[in-house]
Amino acid sequence: MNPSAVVCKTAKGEEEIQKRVHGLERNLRYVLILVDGSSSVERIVAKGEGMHDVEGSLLRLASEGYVDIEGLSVRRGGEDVVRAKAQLIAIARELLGDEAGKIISKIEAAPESHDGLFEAVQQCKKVVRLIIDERKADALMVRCGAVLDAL
Amino acid sequence: MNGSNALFSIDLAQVFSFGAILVMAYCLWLVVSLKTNVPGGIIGKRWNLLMGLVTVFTVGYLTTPFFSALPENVLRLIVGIIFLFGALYVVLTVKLIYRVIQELTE
Repeated sequence: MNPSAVVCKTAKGEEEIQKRVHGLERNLRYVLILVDGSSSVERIVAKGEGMHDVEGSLLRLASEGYVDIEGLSVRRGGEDVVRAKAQLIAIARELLGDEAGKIISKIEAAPESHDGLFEAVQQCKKVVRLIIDERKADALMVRCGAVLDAL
Repeated sequence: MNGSNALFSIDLAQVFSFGAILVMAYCLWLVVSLKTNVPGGIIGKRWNLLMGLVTVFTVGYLTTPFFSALPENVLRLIVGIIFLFGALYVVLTVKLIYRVIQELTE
């Protein structure tokens, strides 16, 4: 990550600061508060002196769509992947109801990339086929596949 | 001397029988308590059959302490039934394991 890259909050980041709707972890929230739209990565790391891994937190905030880091090529994809992950979780919850717990955990733990999510969905399909319901497994794959195809 | 040998062999047989009953009772508790984790799907359907077979085994094993008091024809029938269901259990388990491997490797 370029230390002189300017960091600014996205709409999601602004919303999180104002309403706390996404339940951001405390340390990430502190780092998000340091983002003023004009400071560089280097400046924010200096402002957050004493805090744990500010640079790592900025990358995580970027990958989860709370901030944009100038020149970071993955930032747009990161936002889309986060959105897709939320959609996959919603589909799992809708299709599987009370039995969605294990599947949601698998999706949440998946790497935030298209391939990572695709691999997680494939694994989820197998788990659903084995221990929940074969037809729901097929439906899950079709609906999640549509989300991933659009990614 | 012969009498003490007979007594020893009876005791040993009873020890094994009680051990078998305890293990099978544990197995019954296990299949019933784990059922909530396997509500359906490929494994869930077979799980119900496994529960039924384990119940049959448990009932059959519970008769073993009374074997000496049972008529020979009844005894042979019980042993035959346990053997038959034992064989079915093995077939079911092997096929289930193979199906799980297929699902995970496809």
